[in-house]
Amino acid sequence: MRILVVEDYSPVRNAVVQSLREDGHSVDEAADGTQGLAAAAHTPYDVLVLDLMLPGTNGLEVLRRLRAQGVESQVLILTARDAVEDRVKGLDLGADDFLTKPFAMEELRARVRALLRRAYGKKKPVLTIGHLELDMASRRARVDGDAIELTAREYALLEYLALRAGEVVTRTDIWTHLYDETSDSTSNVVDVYIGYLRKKIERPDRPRLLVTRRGEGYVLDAGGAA
Amino acid sequence: MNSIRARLNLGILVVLALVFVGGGWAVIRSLRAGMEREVERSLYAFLRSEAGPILHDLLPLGGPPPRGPRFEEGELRRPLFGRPDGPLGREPLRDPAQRTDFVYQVWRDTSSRRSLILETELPRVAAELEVVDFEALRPGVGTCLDLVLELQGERLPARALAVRFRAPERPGAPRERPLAPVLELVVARPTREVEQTLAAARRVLLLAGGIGLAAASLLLLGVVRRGLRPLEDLRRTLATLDTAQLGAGLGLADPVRELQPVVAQLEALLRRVQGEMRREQSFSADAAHELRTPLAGIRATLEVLLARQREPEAYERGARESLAIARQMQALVERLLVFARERGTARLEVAELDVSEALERAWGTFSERARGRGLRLEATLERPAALRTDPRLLERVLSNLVENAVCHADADGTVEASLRREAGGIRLLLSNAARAATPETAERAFDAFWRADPARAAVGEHAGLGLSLCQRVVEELGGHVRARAEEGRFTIELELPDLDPPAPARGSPEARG
Repeated sequence: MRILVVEDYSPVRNAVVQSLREDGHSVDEAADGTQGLAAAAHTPYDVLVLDLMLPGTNGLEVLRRLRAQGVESQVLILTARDAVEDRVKGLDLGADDFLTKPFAMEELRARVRALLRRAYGKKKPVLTIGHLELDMASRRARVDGDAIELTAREYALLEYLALRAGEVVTRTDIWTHLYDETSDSTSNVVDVYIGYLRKKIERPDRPRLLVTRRGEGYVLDAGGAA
Repeated sequence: MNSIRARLNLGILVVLALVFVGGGWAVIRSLRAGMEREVERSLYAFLRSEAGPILHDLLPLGGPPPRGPRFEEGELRRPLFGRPDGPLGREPLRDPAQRTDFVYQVWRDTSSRRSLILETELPRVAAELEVVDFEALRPGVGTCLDLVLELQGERLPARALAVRFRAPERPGAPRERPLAPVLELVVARPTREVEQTLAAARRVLLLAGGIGLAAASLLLLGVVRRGLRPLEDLRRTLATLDTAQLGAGLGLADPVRELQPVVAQLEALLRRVQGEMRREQSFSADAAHELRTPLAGIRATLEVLLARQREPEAYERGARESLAIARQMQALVERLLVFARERGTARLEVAELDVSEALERAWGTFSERARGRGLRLEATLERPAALRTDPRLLERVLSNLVENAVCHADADGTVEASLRREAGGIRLLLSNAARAATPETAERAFDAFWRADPARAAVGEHAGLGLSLCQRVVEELGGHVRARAEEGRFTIELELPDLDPPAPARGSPEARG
């Protein structure tokens, strides 16, 4: 999933970015409010991790302007202040969640996962598409109950398709949501990964799950060829 | 005795006892005076009625001599039924009920004869008295004295009357007759009854007094306890006081007048304490806030590092980064401690400070570092620039401002200081070259300075808490501090007023203004 981390204090920013990348997310970073605002305005991030005390434009202002521009990303606010009024103000300005510094990285990752589920309208942490089962908490996939080995990249792709199960997902969508600014791959890398995924999740005795719609994109659906 | 109740009880009891004793003494005293007057009156009455027969015996006044033994000069006698009887002791009293207690003794003026007939003898004090005529004998003539009579083996307190008088002229006596002889007469009467009556009165008074005192002290306990109830109410109020609501007052409905000043002072004290507490709380909150971000940095760095197996270089990088942040936190904590100490006293200690000298001292502290960075000070200081303020706090502020300028100025430039004395205060401008400074840098200089320069903050060189605390101290000193960045220079503007001694309590709403 595509995530933007806006945080001016580099130790925290670096650690958050690295941790989220290791979870398979594509993460962009911004060191001040102005940069963050510019990035979030032209990329449809799934989640924004936003520090409140930012040089340039402060976090609340960034949030206000983004919501004013109609940006729908889930926003997780990081703050060193735990005053209730700060949180209320942030939530009222359109934030989706709050985390007070110092925080446990595990909690931040879990909150990001929860926000992602919310972004795609899912409540259950386990997604089931036919004989495929995807556990978003442990980041594991099972086919017919058997665990399958997936790289972080493969898992991310599968998760994205699963979250949008039944919809046609374009290559551009995949590209935007799974590759960050640091990626230098070409767009046919998506097709390559789709191929890897098919091999791992399809079973000969089962209907096809991952269908290519020529000229449109891909659909992950229990209905298979439908 | 460390109790108001005990003191009041004892004090009032002592006063009551004094009143009883004094009153009793006065009663006894007036009783005694009345009875003594009565005794004296009876002595005069005796004198007037008995002097006749005595004179008859002692002076040849003509007429038949009275019956009974003649009266001899100097004899101590006791009359029976108001008449002279035999010498005392020679003749036993026939009927004790008829006994009169008077005894008397008479001398001729010129006589030196002493009577030793009885165990006792009345004193011849009359010799010192003025001679009066017999007809002039009446209360007030002669002198009264107390003595002890020894009669029949008993020692009795007695009262005596002594007079010196001239015998009456016989009617029809020749004019050429020499003057009538002068007689001295002392009459005494035991006052045992007086003493007995007084003793009885004393007993009654003592008894009444004792009972009265006991009853009064019982009443007193109740009255004092009742009187001290407002104190107890105050205690109870204080015991149940909500520490979060100290400034709201004690909520005592209409405290008694004696407690009003105490309650007022107490409420003022509580307001001050609450101000202090609020100040401390916000200081701690700020401190915690300042520490949270670097703490988050360390925690996040280490958690990511340990989340999986990594290359040795990654561990080294993480360790170095954590160490740098730890150093930065240490600097932050030390700075916080310095400020906590500086702010240890609850009140501003107002004194006069020459700000120009203080500024130069502050520059002196950092001059070496300034030289190292190629910085020069260009100062236009009005001197003296005396200001009534809290010198310790202001010196701390100046030191922080100068340190900030020295650390953050672009190298090889000037730090400009201009100090002017203005009506009611001073105005200080401190500016340094800072090409990177933006209006936003200035805007945020006071709340999170150390993050305006993340590169430097990350290596822990400067904790940067200085300016935000400076601003707070300056506000406590009643002044303003502002920052602006224009044309590549970062300028701090400081305005401070003269404070009135006595200073307002720090942390009170007035002081915060």
